[in-house]
Amino acid sequence: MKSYTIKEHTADLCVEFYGNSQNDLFQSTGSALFDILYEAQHISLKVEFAVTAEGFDTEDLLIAWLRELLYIGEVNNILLCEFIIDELSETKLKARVRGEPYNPEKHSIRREIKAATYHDLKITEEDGKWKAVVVFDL
Amino acid sequence: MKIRKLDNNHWIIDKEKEMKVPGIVFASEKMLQNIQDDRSLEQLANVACLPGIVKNAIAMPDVHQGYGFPIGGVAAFDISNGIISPGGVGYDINCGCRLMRTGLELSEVRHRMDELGMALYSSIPTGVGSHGDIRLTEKEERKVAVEGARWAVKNGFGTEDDLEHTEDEGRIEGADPSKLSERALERGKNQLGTLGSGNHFIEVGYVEKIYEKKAADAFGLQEGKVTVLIHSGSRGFGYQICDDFLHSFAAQSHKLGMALPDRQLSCARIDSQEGKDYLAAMACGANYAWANRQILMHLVRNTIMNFFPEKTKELQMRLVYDIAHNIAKIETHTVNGKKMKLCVHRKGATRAFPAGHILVPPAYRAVGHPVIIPGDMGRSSYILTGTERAMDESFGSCCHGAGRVLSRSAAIKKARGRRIDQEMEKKGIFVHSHARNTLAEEMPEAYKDIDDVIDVVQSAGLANRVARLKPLVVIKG
Repeated sequence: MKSYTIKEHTADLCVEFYGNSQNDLFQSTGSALFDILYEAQHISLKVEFAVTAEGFDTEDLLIAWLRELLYIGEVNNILLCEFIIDELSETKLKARVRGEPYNPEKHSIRREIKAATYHDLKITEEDGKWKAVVVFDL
Repeated sequence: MKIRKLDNNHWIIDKEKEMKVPGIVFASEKMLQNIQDDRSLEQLANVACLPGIVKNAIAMPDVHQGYGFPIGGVAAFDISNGIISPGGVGYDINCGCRLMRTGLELSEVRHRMDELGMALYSSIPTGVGSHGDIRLTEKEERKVAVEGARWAVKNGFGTEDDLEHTEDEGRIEGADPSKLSERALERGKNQLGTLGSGNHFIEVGYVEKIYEKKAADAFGLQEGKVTVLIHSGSRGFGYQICDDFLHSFAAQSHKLGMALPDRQLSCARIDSQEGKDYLAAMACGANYAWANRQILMHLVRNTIMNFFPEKTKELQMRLVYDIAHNIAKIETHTVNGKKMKLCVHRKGATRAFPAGHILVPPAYRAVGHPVIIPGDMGRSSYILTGTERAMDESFGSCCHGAGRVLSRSAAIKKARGRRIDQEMEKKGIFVHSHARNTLAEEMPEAYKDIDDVIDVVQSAGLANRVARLKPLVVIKG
């Protein structure tokens, strides 16, 4: 199952993410995020970071998760490709994320994302299929 | 939601439902058709619902859909009962534009523009995640946050003359680094003096036409002389500040059960501790951006000096002006005959204060400060001056650029199979960029025609043309 679709938006990036469960949705937003940021044939598992996130509802939790991933990626100059979610509720998350440092010989940058916004933010679940819509500021 | 015509350049969305004030759109009939293709007007109506908003929610002629506030939006709030909205400033706090003039004659240097482009591209840190040569300690970073462009001048990146020609002398008072998160400080420590990516740019161009001689003379602009535009902001430092406060305001709004038309419009009362904390942190972001543009200009000056060693006397590289276009300012305005202290949010909009205004630098007080409006990379940019009518109708504001018409994905589709760099070169414009899709996303067809936007600005009486610039070299991140 594909993990994301880019939708039309005039100046920014509107993305639909998909998953077969809440856990799967959160994992796929992670891998989709780094596919949106970078073009990379293969990302090795050389470094690991622990992530905790909290939100006042599941949508806020999703934004908190994306904020953590964007921050780890930028400050450490890292591409992440593995997202192991150890604990997940509607408002809390604990995970381990893995990847490798950015290497211009192997990876190319597609775009910069400034932030994940709350605009049009929505998570829906229908017949076990989860979908999240997030608009990112470019 | 109904929009009706007031005259050829003014449209109104009447107050309805939760709107507290009407929405005013500055646009021609033709431009309005484009504007109605996306959700800008719905976003404008949402802004009009926010507490304490005064007079009108305003859309400039370059308006397009944003995330919460429309881009090209202006909204002013009474400081005694109104709100401050981080989304109404934007993640890129004090993204803005500066114009530098030179004494170089286009006719003498045009044949070397491609080479100059390559020299700038290799000497200015550009692109996603770029780090410059400046590595700030936390102590120095806090000084940058408080002192703004003055920090840059004190550390050898410019002159007092530069500060005298920068909006608010490149510094907002009341910046408080204790309101910043560790993450903001972490992100800001290595990014000072970097251009960034996306629609940020450095553009070498020239003055193609002078419309108004008195103001042009005051600005030092002459036909045929080479100019440099720099468009950049507060980098990851600013993005993190906005993100931190939006997250906190959203949680607070949720806790209080505040009904908001869009969660991205999460806000706090200006007179609350949270509101004051955001303004103090926003000021840090704004000051960082002014320091950033000051340093970028210094790097450009150095590159040009080294490139033209035989022309040292002619170079005369002077800052004309630096203007913010993502910011909130505390200003005094007259509304229905009464002086009011307001928090004016300009999201993709600039100040346009007229002759005589106390906040116009002394060098320009006889004519008004320069209003810098860059077009897309293939077309003109304009320099204008503000008017009393702008003070009356838009809280002394004007648009900030051409405004997008195509989404990035639509632009990439349209550019498939094309070499945008070669198309630009055929027009005599040399472009350089790091990221693969940037040139496609930023191609001229992705933007409104700047001439149409400026026509409306002029006809609506918001600002008057002073000069038109044309691009020669464009450096994109």
